[in-house]
Amino acid sequence: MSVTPALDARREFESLLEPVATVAYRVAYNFTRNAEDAMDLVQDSTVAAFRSFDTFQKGSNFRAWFLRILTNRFYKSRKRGRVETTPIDEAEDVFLYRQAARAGLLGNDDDPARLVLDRFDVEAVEAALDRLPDEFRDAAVMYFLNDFSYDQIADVLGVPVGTVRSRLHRGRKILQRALWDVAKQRGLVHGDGPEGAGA
Amino acid sequence: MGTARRAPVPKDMSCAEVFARVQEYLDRELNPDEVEAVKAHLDYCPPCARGFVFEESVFETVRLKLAASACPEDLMARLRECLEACDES
Repeated sequence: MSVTPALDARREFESLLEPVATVAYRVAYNFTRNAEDAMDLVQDSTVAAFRSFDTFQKGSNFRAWFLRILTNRFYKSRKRGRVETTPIDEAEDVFLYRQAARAGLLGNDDDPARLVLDRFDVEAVEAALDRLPDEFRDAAVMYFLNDFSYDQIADVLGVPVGTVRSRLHRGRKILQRALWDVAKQRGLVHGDGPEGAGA
Repeated sequence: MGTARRAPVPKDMSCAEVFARVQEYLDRELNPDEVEAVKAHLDYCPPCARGFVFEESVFETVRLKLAASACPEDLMARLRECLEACDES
């Protein structure tokens, strides 16, 4: 059986792509907010990555390399679905902890956060993420899904690391308020502390 | 505002100052002096220590939930088709 070098390269590429394809789609979906656009972005990135596969350093992190290509292609195309969002205020530090305590949700459990967050399904978390303004949301997607470091996010976004730090800091605070709002709207939590959740 | 330098590290941090650093602490993005100051506070302040554990768990849970969102079952098959077409062109 003879295998051409081209087929060999494709098989090698596929074997590296397979374990990261799912996370790549999820990142694409969270960027584009649309299943069809997400699939287009992953396919386009796959072709682009394969065509530059000879620049990939064997033994290095394929996942990071591929997600970087995908993220850069998204930023070039800027194909983003619009989501109607209501402006949302930044919350105080450790907002969910304070709100959960005020609502009497902490109890004596070893992992009270999981007790609170277990009330959320994936859609509720995505709905909360959707409420972040784009600049905070993109940094959050790269942080939570890409698993990028602050430096890597700064590199892809073309902004200083300090800006990434600030966006992640503020984004995660807004996300906590959004999570609490979504939980209240969906009846997942009851009770409200003196801070309230409304802006 | 995004590029502003962080304030110097107070020797004895208040709870508010510690909470303001919780995310960077968990991300290992603080400098060694800040890490020591936060640790010193957490050692004698159980409410803040509980808040840090809670915060860490919140974002780990968010990460896990997002990583479990829907994905097309035929994703890899469709990507293989793209690669085949790419090979043939």
